[in-house]
Amino acid sequence: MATASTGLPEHHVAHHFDSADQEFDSAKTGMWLFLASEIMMFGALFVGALVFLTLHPAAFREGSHHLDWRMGAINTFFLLTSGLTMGLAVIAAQAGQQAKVRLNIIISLFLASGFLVVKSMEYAVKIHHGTLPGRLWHGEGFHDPFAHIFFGLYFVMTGLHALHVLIGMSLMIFALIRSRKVQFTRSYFTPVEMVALYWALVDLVWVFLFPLLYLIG
Amino acid sequence: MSNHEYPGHAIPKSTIVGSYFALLFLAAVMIGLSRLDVDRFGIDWMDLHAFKSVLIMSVALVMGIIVSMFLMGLRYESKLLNLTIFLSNFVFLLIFVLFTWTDTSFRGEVDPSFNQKINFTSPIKVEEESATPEKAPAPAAPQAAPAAEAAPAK
Amino acid sequence: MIAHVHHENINYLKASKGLKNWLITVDHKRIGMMYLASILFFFIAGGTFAGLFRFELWSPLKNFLTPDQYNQFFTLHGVIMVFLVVVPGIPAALGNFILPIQIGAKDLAFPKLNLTSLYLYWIGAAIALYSIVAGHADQGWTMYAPYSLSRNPAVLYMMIAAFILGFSSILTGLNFIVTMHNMRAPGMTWYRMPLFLWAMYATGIMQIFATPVLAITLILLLLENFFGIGIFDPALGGDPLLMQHFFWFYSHPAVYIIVVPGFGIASEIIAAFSKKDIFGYRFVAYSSVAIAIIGFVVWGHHMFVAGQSELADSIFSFLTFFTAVPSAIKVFNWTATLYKGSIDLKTPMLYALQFLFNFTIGGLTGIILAILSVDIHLHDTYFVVSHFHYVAMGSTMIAFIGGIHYWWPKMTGKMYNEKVGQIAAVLVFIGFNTTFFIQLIMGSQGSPRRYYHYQDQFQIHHQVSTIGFVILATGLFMALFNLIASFFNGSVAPANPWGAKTLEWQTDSPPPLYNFKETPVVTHGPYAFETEKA
Repeated sequence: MATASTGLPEHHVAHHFDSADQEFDSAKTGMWLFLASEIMMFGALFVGALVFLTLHPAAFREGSHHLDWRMGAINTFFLLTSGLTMGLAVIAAQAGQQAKVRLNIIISLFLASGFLVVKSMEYAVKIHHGTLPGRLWHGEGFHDPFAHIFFGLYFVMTGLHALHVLIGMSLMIFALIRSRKVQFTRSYFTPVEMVALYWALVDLVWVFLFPLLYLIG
Repeated sequence: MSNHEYPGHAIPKSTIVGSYFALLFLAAVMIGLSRLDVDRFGIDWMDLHAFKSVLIMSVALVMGIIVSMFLMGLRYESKLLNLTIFLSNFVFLLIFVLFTWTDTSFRGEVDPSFNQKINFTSPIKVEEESATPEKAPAPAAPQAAPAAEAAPAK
Repeated sequence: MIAHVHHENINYLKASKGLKNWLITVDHKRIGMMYLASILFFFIAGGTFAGLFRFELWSPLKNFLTPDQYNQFFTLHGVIMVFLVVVPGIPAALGNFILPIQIGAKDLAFPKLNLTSLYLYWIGAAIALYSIVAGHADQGWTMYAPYSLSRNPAVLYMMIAAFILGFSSILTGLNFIVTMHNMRAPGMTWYRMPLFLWAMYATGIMQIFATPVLAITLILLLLENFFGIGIFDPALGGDPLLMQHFFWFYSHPAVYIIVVPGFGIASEIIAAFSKKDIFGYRFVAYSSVAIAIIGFVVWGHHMFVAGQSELADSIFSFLTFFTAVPSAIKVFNWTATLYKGSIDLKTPMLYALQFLFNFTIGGLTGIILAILSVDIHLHDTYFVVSHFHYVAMGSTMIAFIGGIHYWWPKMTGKMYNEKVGQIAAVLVFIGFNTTFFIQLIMGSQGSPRRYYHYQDQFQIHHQVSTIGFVILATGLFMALFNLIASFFNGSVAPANPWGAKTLEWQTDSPPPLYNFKETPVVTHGPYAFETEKA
């Protein structure tokens, strides 16, 4: 497919690589290894949560009932849709359609900000009710003495996830800037592909986080 | 240099859109399941709450597989390396959770004194007398042997 | 690329001058050298702390350190040696330098990432050092809850430092694995890779999959300190044993992150100085990977007396025995390689043989500790201290030092004084074993580790151990000065001083900027000494 002539310079393969293929493969394998380490990091938190769930199921249930599943559902929608637009951005990059890449990334950015807005609304409710981790706790009306650990886990897990949303958003902005500097082609669309992979990880974690915290119990 | 060749495989647009709608549908299924009042069925020979939780997490697993295989394109990789990396994640996490579980869920089988709950201060002021662990003043025991640990709440 | 041609043939040390050009370099060789210098600096620092409390233990009562200082010093010794020396050690210093050359690549796959990991190492190291002035960290390197939940600023800085160092370690491992997959020279098949690279590969797997768990453990500990989230803190209803699970899920593989690179170096040196192909190449290669994987399922043996369930105890004890299988395969294969080889007892070979000796002791004492009932007696005694020093110091650091001697001519283009090197190696061997063998005996008699005071009956043991430390330190400094002196007045090293067959010896000493004047084509295995049969 001939790329639209946007007048942007083409990407040059770095000197220590033999070909664009080798460069792309390296970037992608590197990204997957990085994602693997991210998954292990989140995975360990899930292990912690599952241990807590088996040790204190009643506390987990009580905490879970204080979360609003509607908020979680809206955020699930935001994240899944932004995953779609990032996927479309990759396809547009492969076709060299810079404008379409930008449009899709901007939509994703809006959806991601929507996620953060909803998340901060949820945090505001928690702060209002005082269901905060241990030392800051001033919640009322709880029956299980272990219930505060649920909120400890909730804040750590969603907080770390929200941090990844922020990182993902800055990567998107980075990809937007790249799209103004370099012409994407069939053999060079690495930045968009990498950001999309990272964003899919944010999706992947949320897909498990949402039911674990909001729906179980 | 080698612009003729196309690195990696493209994920078809239809696959991305299709998996997006599949994910939305499964998310709805998950929420629907969690809203289901299982007590209504009046079945007492199995723990329907636990079963429901397992079901919900299984749906989440399916969603996870869709995200990784189609959105992240593992299904379309020409090399098996990236898929191997991803699967290793699951193997290592499975090891992690299973082995930790053999500890946390089976403490005090030989020496039941291990099951004694240690005193701890919960920030929660328990209002009803339903909770078992007696509250005590601050343990002030940084030396506290990790041995006597909170037992599985049965 | 044409523009680089005249540039490419200058050796990497001379390619550009000035401190700034070193600090912004993306050349894996310079980064490796900077890592090497930093790691040796911290090795001396960690060793100094060890020396201080070793002398304090000369007599059972107070000599010159208060109990507080004593706790602080063994904590610093542990944290520095583990997080700043042995874990990054071989991969970051020697791996960085040698790995791309051994596979015939121009550089690692991500040179900038490589530099980033060096800077993360420096930042982490600086924060770790700052914790010394920030207060008294006395929790031990394991940072167990609740010891580490005292909101002690020194402990918090140590956690942040370990977190950053973990990232540095992940980036190094990631870079290595990608490089080995994608950047091999034509003809360099997996089974033509030197065994050092297989060891680096296994190490990379562990760095990538285990280190993130340490990262999250440290994040949780920090948050526990600040907010009391209650997951690990028993005072809030948390489970301190869960913290140990998290910690050892990283730290047991970390023990293999420490020792597996040592295996790689030993394989290189033993083959090169026996002038023989390594016996059972594939078994040595696979056993590195096997150790990496088995290393993930044995972490519970650190918690046999911590109140872990009996079921988990039994499973972990059972599985721990399996680590002996790949380790023994290696030891037997190295020994078989020596058999009928034309052995040349040059300095690197002396270290490799020490490695073999020490690792056998370190490994066998590990089997003893894996036995559940015996461990209950030996747990937290000097027996354990001795066991892991036989592995971390006696095997890894000895292999590291051997590797430095082996690759020194390649890295600097200078030959060190062989005689002095050999004498130093012998001193290190005597010193190390004097220091730590006695601790096995002391431990089996029940002397607990980490204690400031001890019973009079153990005084003679401690004194022997301290004398051993002096001999060891003498040997190490002798080796160090020998190497540094060669920098200034060593003779010029030929391209292949040892007559080894791996790729790094086919290029100049020191190598040109892009490692090879032209991309090498590999036609034989890494140890094809028998007149290039294949």
